[in-house]
Amino acid sequence: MRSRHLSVLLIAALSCAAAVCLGTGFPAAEAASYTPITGEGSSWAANAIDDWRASVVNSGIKVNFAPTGSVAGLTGYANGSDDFAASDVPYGVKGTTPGVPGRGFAYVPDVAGGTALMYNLSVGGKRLTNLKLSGPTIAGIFKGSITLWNDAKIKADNPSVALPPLKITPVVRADGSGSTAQFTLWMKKQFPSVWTCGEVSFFTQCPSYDPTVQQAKSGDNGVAGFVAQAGNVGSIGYVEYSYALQSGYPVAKVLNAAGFYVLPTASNVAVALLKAKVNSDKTNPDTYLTQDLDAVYTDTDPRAYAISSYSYFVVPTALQNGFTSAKGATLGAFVDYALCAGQQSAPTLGYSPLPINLVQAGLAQVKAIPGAVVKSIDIKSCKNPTFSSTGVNTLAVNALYPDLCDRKGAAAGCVYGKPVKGAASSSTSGQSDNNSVGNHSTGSGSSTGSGSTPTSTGGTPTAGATPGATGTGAGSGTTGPAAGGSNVVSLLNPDGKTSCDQDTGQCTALAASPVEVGGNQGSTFSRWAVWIALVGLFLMVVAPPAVVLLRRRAAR
Amino acid sequence: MISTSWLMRGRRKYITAVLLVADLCLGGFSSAMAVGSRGAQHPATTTTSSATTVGWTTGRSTYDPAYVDATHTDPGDPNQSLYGNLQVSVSQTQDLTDQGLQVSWTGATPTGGSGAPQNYMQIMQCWASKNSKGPTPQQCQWGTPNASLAGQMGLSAASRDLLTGSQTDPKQLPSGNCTAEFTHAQFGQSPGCTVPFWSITDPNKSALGWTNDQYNLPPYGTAQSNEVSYARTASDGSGQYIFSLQSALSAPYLGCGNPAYAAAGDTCWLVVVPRGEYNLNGELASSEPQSAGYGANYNYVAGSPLSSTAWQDRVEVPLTFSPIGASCQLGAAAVRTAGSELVSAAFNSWQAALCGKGTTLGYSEITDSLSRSALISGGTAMSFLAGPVDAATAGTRTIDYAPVAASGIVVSYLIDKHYTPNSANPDLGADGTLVTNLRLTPLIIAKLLTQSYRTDTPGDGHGVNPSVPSSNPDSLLQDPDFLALNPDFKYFYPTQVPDGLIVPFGDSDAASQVWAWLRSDPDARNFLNGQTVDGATINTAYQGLNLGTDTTVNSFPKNDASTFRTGDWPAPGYGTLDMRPYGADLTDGAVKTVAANSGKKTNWDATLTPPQATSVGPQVPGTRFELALTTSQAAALYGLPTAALVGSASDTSPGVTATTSSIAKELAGASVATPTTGVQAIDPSIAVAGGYPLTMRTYAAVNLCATAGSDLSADATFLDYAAGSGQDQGTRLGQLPLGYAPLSSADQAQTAKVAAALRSEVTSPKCPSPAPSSGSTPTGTSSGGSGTSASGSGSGGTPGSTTTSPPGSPQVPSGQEAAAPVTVGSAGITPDAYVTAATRYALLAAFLFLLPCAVFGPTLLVSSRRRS
Repeated sequence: MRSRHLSVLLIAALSCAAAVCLGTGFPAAEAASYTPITGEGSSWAANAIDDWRASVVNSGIKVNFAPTGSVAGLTGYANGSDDFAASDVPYGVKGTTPGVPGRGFAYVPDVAGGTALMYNLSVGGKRLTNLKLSGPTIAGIFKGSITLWNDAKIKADNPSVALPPLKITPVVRADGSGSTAQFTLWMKKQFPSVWTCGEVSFFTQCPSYDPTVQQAKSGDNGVAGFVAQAGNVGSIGYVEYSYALQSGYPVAKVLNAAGFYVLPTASNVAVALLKAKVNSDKTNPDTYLTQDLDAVYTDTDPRAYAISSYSYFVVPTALQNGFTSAKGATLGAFVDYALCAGQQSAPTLGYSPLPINLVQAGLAQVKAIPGAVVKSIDIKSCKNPTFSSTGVNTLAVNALYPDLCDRKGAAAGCVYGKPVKGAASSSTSGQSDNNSVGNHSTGSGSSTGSGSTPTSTGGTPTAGATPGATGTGAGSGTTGPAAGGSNVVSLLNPDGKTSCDQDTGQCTALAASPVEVGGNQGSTFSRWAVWIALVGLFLMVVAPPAVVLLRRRAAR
Repeated sequence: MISTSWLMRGRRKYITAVLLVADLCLGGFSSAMAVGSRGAQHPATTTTSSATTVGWTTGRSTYDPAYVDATHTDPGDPNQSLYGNLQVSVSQTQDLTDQGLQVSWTGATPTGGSGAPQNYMQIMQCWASKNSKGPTPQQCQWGTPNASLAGQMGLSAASRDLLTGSQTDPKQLPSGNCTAEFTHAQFGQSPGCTVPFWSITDPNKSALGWTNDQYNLPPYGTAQSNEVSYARTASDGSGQYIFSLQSALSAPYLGCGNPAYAAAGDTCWLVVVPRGEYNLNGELASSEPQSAGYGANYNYVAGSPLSSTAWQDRVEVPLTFSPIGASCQLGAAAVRTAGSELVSAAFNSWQAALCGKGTTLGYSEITDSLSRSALISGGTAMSFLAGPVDAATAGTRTIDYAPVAASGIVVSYLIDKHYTPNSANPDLGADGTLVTNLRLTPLIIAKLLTQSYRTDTPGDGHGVNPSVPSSNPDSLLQDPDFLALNPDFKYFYPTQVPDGLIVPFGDSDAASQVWAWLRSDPDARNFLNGQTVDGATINTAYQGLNLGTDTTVNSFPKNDASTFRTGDWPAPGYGTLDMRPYGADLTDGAVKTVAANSGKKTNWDATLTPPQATSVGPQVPGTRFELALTTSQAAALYGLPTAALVGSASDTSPGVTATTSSIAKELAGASVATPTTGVQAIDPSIAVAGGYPLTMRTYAAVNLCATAGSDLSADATFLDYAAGSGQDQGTRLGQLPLGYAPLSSADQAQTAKVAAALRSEVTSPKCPSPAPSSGSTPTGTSSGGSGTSASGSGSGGTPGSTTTSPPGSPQVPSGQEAAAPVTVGSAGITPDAYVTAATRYALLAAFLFLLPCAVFGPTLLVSSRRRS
């Protein structure tokens, strides 16, 4: 009787395996087909969006995007000519952006970055690359009240530089621009006595705009393109950092509330944005996830870059204006990619990856896009580079500290090489470290110092980050010398105070989640199904004789 | 225990038999599907050349037998006598994607006149249902013409609308009245008579008529459609058009390249409909009176090409597309690489192949200089660049350079011949067709790059204090050098000037190479140095840039800061960047050329709030003139012709274009050593017979000791592929895309050697301690720790996984891993997780065939024992 039960069980098991084959094999055999989608807007974020667009082509997704500026993007979305928009600023900012559209929408943060002050200046026939500027000076320059490069206020920021008596040409955006809005908002909030124009998206609407002083150009491309002309010595414009990197022209170090002049590097932006207050009132879609940057402007972390912000996708929440659920599937997959794996290229390009709390909230918004394939959107499989097992932004934690020579009031002949904390500094004279593409992760193999943290790195993880320590992962391999894939995670925050709940508190639930949990469930399942089927086949061949043999032996 | 006899007893034997038969049938079906899916995934096609030519008389396979005689012609169709010698050629018919397709023809009747009065071609892309001989009119993307083109055509000739009444096509609507299947109810208007569009995505597809069609309008508009409303034939009977082919990525409603539709048997087609001189009702178009109701162009050929009488004259070419999208899993962990855009097209092709093999690499386009910074800081696993990191910056680092791609920087163009009616012009008969031959000198390119033609400056050089001397030519059309090389341009309307030469923003090694080439030419160098050469002097704004001597220039300046006010423009008016904006990169130059839209913003719209500059929009077909600096691979992809380079205006040679052989010759003849081991530069001043001077060799560079072991393994896999099958030129995913030249065997050997060195570092590290930890980049962080030991016992242990990791998530080792432990037993490389449809069916088939063995095997054994 026992063996009869056995064979029944065996057959049942094999049938299950067959069911698995049928259940997963057939649907997975169909290639996903995505409907192309079209959007427009922010040129500030365009370099990142273009990178993502190129990356998803081999996965069958086509996204059209035109960097027409945030205001054009918001307008195009509102009147239904776009499937989505990209904007640095939300709807309904009085006098700045179009009113809230009649069409359903939600904001999804897409990428963070620093609005950089790219300049073109020569001193003694040599291009100056170490310009430092304080906020009020910047406001004065763009207002037009500081007109010469050897102005006493600029000299005060750069005591050791023989600034020329050259006219300053501020370069501003001619089109409706979210970066103009972010930049003027910062000046309005911080230096209201100097910047009296308030927050605007069309710079040319400011009473202080004078075409004989400021040059107005279209798009970040136009502003950067103007500054990056050898003939335009004396010009300075505001663009996303990536455009300055593309052109090889320097950007100013901006004085922060801690008294340090810092660059808009990926990590300095990440540090600053830890102080961003994210509107977490889900009941009001008009403002949910919009940013309040007041605390960013005044962040006293020595690394914080003050003019940091993030940009948004504006995505539909209803099937209207020609938006179909097929387009929703494409948009959902694209934005999911952008927020997760897509963030890996952000530092390389000159942006800063979004932290976990914004990604989590953003993905929840993505799931609300009609047609988005909700089950494939899972923060656990999100390959965002800032995630850590403790929930803190690894990029912010590992940000190098500025050099003492970048402290306000540093001696005129200061020699770079002494950071505020740690063994390596985030800035040296000139721009040499300015554009360290990639991340300022500590202890990278190329630098001699181990960086900002006293704890040792190199695969001695702490805080439960040991790879495969608990051994739950099937097939987890030997912990080889190159293991410790998470040694960045293991670094302790030198301040011991940054954590993601300073943003919104939203990431606490995920604080202990692992960095990565493989691919999407469907493909994992089908992989397993194959193995179950293989084992089943093997059993079919081996088991029957074995059963019979066992029976014979038992009979004897 | 179940015995055989138990299964055979009573009614059970029927159940058993039915189950057995069902099982075997399903097994047979599965094995058939396994073979079938395999075939679908690997079409047995050769990729050397899939160009084809179809003769109208002999090659049409889909004429309607009801209307033709033994010679395949319809005696009742007076137009057909005009088509007898027509031959239509298509440059490629297999492994297609979103690309330009050159469609050309000979033996046609010349168009004559201007616009499209008669005798022209209409080109469209269509899909066809399984087992059909070809597409139906309902399956073609047609009917959303550019308004300015439609205005130069006869009534409905560019639309889907059917003519009725006295104008009717008797083969289409014999009664002259619209039938139900073509009647289109329009809200608030009288019903129209039009051919509906059937989308391949429609579940009811061909069963649908217009009346119950869920799509009231076609799912495309003028901006999306690739239809060619008309293409003119020159006086020698030939013509050509660059057709913008669309894969399912761009046009899902045609489904081309969508593996699901290909598997279902649906097909894709290019349809060329020749139009003659007679209307659909058989009347000679040129004789129609104004009163016949044909509208403004009453004596032009009228009616839709989708109407039966015109449709029966079509030439059809079947097309097969590369499968879209199936290559890489979206959002998978990827080893990050970054660098020069010169590698991007090859990378995308190779990535598709490598994803299928289990190695996922990601690529971001950055400038060469940023790429060098990334290499030093260890920000990426591999960098792509044309020139090395200088020795001082590199210091003691071990940087391995491997050549991966060779291509050219080219001037691509899209120019419509728009001639003045001058009978002295020997080429007048080709009016309205595309320019296919253009020759340029270094001096002409130097003038274009320095805004030294007056029309390339704000106010066309006619403002106050112009930066260009008035003695300089207004544009190419007035430049004696250019006209000596390209005499046909003498007869162009002088208003048809290019939007300058479109160049990319930012610095690049490619730009350095272009300037080095210009400096190597005596005329161009003298011009850049400020001398007057052939009557032209450099724009004063460029005189201080020392372009003739400064070897550090690595971008394309737009240095003329003058502005110009016209109309409502407020002070200071528009400037250089408004009228000649940068492209985002070299590839964008080709995109802007194909679209004939440089993005210039010289319109001032005072009606907007606030008033602002707006885009001028694309140039009107028929009068297009765009030039762009781009890459040879982008020009090839978009089907754009490229300029031949010659030494001087008196040169009578055809010049040299970027081809596989001219690039190879330049690499062989002009490569010079650099101070960096393993890197060769190309010296454009070395004269190489038949060599293309603007050739670029792109390297992959790896900072050995700053790169994690897992990343090194992925890099090595990539390099091996790049040096191996990645150099097979072709149009399939995984091959070397057209426009690149294959690497020399020496270059391939160098790349293979670097790959071996990277592997060796993984297996027996020689880098100074500490061993490169994968934490140096976020990539390493997120890709998960794993063993690198040769045992390859598996990967994908989730770092720090404690409770939330579902047991099924880690990647399961496969048999392939065991066979090649070194390459795949490490993090960052996804194990071969791709189970093809064929494999799935095969597994199921095997299972079903073996199931009876499992059931009957033991029972037979049992019964045989009993009998014995």
